[in-house]
Amino acid sequence: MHINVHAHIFTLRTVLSREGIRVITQRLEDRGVPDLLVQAVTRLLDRLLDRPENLDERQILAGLLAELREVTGFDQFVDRNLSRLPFAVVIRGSGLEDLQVDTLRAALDQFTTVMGAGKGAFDIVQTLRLAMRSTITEVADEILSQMGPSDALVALMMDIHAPDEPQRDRDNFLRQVGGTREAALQRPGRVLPFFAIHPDRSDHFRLMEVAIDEGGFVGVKLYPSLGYEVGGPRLMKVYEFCMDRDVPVLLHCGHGGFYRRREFIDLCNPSHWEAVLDGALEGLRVCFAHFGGWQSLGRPDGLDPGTWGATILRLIRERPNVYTDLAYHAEQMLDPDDEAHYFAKLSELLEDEHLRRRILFGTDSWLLRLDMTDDVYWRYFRHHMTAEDFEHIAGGAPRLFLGFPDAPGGAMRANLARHAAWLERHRSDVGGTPAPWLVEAVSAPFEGGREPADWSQWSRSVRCTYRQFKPHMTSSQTRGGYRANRTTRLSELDYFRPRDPNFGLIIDGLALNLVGCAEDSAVSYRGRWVRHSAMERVKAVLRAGDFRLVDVAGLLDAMFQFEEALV
Amino acid sequence: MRCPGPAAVLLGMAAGIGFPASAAAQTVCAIPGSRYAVAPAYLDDTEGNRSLAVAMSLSSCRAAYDTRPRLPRARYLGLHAGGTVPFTSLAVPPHLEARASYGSAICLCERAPDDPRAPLDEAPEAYAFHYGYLGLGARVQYEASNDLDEQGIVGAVELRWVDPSRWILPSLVVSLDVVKPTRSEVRDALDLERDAHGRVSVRGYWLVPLGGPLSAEIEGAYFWGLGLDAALAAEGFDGGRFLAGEMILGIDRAVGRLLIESIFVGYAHGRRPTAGEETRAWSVGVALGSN
Repeated sequence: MHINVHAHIFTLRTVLSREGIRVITQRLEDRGVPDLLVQAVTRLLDRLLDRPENLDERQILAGLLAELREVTGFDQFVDRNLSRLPFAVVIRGSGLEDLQVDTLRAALDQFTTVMGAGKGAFDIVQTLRLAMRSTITEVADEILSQMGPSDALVALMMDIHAPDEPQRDRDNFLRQVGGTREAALQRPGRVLPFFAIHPDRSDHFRLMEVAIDEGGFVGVKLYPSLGYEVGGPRLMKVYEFCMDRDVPVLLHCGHGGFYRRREFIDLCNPSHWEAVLDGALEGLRVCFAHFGGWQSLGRPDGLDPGTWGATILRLIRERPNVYTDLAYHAEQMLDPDDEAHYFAKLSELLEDEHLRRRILFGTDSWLLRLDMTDDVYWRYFRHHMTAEDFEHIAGGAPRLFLGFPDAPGGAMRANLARHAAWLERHRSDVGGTPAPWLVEAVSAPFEGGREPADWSQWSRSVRCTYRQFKPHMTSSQTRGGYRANRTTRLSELDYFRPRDPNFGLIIDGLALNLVGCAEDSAVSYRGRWVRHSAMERVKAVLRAGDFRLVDVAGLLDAMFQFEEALV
Repeated sequence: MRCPGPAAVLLGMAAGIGFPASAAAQTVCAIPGSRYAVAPAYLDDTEGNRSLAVAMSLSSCRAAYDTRPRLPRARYLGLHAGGTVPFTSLAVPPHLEARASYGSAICLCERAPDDPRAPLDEAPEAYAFHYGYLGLGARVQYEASNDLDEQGIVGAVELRWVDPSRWILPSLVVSLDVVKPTRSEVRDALDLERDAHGRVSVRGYWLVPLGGPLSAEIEGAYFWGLGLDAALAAEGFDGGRFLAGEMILGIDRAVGRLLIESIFVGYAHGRRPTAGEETRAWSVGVALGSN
């Protein structure tokens, strides 16, 4: 069993706020993504904030190109570079939304090549595609699909709380909590959730308490560069709780990543923990993620005194339960010298009996997708390390950090035992096959009858979708019930008869009832969706016919504020 | 049914009996909002005259939606103008049209309330009653034939009804048109007045599932001319019928980048309201899409 101790499975929708967009696009700027492209991404995300929707790759590509066209300076860019651009990519007309995905890919690729963005744009699109799944479980599934069948990941939530947070953003955060919990139930034993704390959130402690004690959460995630000091009284109370409940903490500890203001990056400095990990809190289980950055291992001076890497290493040696992880160490891949130094240093550290139990493997997906897939990252480390060393970082050490038994027959630590007990309480209603460790830990059998996260019969969007389309199903489709029709395409229903002279009438009637049903059931429209825009979008979907019923439900869920939202 | 060939359209226009938009111009918005399009075109009138041209259209359609549970409805107000103008002075004529329409789409249904606590497979039916979808519309349009020999103003009201879940019942379009020719070479040649005349047309469409991937499409249409000059009636323009059938085998199989959607075989016989002559045609084909 291997464990990825550093993964993000939240959907973009659950972290999308003005602050979230600023933080995300700041990261793109820091990565050297051309300004025109960053502006286009910002505009696309702004549009999604206003009118939330789950987009597939084609829609993201078309959206990005359309936004690119609107960015100030784009026309001048085209004029300046016209001779270098193929005719096909001069996108000043309309109709992008009708183009095939390959054509759109090629257009964006050609544009960004001229911009000097290399394959960055493609990776951004793939990252957005992954992040724009309709549910957190779907994101988890894509990451898990790149791992072994008994492997697990640690799902780190994120709380990009802003001081003037509107209710919409709070609702999104709560959806993230619910969706992460749901993913853990859907993939029992394979998704180990960590609850994100932002001490400025007024009820962060209560939410954490509930998540840990009753919600199956295994650990706590901190992201200090989002604007808080790790030694403040509110967080000290959190650490005391974690000590009391035997809960591990993982915090962002690298110079890159997200930050609210540049000066906040230093809030991640591990030296701030000298005073925290003292006295009663000396034994707190803490993982300093990213090992302070890839340079700690990739550069000859990476562990010099005063560096974050050196401080982490010292804390690991001086405190009983301090860990670090190797998430998103990608830049050493670009230079053979850095790479050689990286793995030589890592190998040297892993020779130490104590350190080999403290250095953990993590990928930082889905953010890693900005550079590569998880699969590539796993293979890269496997390729450059001995099997024994890899087993330490991806097997033994993560197990220890997370509270798995130190030896066969041993006891789990309290945090993991609570998680196993929580899953056991839900054993008659889990999703996929439970991980082997869980089957071993829980004597009673699990039953995998849980509904898919994106097709729950108790969700109003699913109920509206299924009930409205049921009269248009064939008898064999109806016999399958709602579960079997999750992936039924609209074009397979009897309303879909594009050559009927009254097809427009059918589309109108169906859309009126679909939107009407959602209006009847929902609290309100989300963002800037209103009846007119919702009708036009639904009609376009009904006319195209390529959506599955689950996609229609996802669309309604994005448009409307239902009490029982899909997460 | 597959689209009629351009020759049939031209013939109907030439007779000045009716205008080809009567069936196609639905009084709902195909694409709501305002749109314009300018595109290059290449014209060939099949008589040896060819020219590059520019095709232009300007459309604006406003919709209002009322999603009430009982008889939800939509209202549309549309304006459209379009034409094709050749670049050269070859004898390739421009095509011009202008249309204003008002329409309403109504679901003859009432949504039934859900019981959110009931398992979905046991939930109440979505509708207390559902008798299909009804469309009512009116339009006024100016149209000209490609050679501008036939021009006229058409006022029409139409009634549409369809219920796709009851395939045995046809999808219906009933239209009452009043045509006022403003220029008509045909009438001038026959020395006839350009009197207004009426026309009633009825069109029925069935999509019949035959099991599995096999389905059949049947279309039947009939029209009656009202108040037509006797000379034109004598030419057979006072009425006609059209019947077409098509068997379709859905394939949906990708071949590289192509998607073979279906293969079909069809037969059509009769005359559409806009055509001057009867046609009798077999068609066999493959419907392709992109994968």
